[in-house]
Amino acid sequence: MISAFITHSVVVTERAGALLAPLWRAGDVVALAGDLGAGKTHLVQGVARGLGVTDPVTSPTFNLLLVHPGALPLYHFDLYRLEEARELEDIGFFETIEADGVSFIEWGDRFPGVLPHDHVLVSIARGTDDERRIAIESSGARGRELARQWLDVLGSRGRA
Amino acid sequence: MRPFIAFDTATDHLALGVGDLDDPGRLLAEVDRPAPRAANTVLLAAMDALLSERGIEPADLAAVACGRGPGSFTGVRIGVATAKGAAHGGRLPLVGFSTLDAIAWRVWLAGQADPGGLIGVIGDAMRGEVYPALFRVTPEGLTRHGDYGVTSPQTCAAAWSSLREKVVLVGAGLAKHRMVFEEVLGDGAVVAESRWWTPDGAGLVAAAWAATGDNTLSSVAGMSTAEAYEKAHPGRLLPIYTRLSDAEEAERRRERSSTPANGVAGPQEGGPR
Repeated sequence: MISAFITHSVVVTERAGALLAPLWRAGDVVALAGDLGAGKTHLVQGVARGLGVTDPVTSPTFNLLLVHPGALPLYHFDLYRLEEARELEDIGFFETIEADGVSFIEWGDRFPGVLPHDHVLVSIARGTDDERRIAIESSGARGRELARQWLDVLGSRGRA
Repeated sequence: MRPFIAFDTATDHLALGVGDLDDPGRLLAEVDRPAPRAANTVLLAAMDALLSERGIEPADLAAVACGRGPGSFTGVRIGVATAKGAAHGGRLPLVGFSTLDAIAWRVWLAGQADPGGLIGVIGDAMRGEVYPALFRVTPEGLTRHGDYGVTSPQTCAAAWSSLREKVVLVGAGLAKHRMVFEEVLGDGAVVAESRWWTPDGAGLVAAAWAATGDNTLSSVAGMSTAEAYEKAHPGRLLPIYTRLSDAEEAERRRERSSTPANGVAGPQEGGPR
């Protein structure tokens, strides 16, 4: 299932992330795709706000993984700097995404076959100026449920 | 008294024990607690605290023992690397044991398995798979059936079900896959209370005494520390990964004609074959 919506500012991208907060369960995985500057981190900042995270949320490009305590722990990965899928073992990728929090994985489409069956893939494409097309693709029963709930929430409140 | 320290970081549960090379039945100190993905920050502090509590200086140690997995890839590497550093720094022998054996020994020591019965340890291999190990309770202790490996919960449950015996089930893999084992094994599945699913210090020390092969306590029995250091050199102990990385699998396929599939990743020279 693929659905898409358009935003016209980073404020809306962040808000789209914040609206997700009540939906999370431990073990949920969202992969983020999109060019540098597309707004992947803005979306995670919104998620963090929704989870009550007080840490500043920045892109973990060099850290590979940043952990933010919140209502649920937020595991924020960035796979941009990894060269091979086997390096995922080195950073404890699989044990982290199956643990007690929600995982957001920037460049999550970098290595095929490493995402769990249940996940949501959010692809952010740049339009003109601040316009962004956000496409949501889901896999597995839980992934589909999350994607549907998010689209429901966005449909009722996201465009305000 | 010649104390040795044993520890394991292959699961979400940190365990440490101190045994005595002069008395296999003796446990000088032990501690265990949950430490998910935190072994790198808590292991050394926990070792220090446990030894201090018992008034043992690091210089008093006669050997280091560590869990080789299988388990969390990063957890195993943190434990094995720390053990190598500690043993090499102290010119001490480094001996190993399997994390799954340590959990089975905990169950045995706690009297949770019947004489002659079976204990099935199910480690969590992530990605929907498990690290299983099956043990028979004997008058002397435990005998492991088969080698360590990684498989689906369904395959493991079917194999154990075919034995048509009760199996006492433990291990962190049950948290995700308990239903599979209960469905397939039916009345044969005896799921132990979750407090027996993790390793503890007593189980580690018992598993260290029971392990056989290179870099084990039994291989250095009766030796001086200096002799034992040469025989069970810290550089030769290898982790048990069972699941090789894709790159290693590809390399292994290229070398198939000359390399035995021993399930042990790492350098081919010097390790147990």
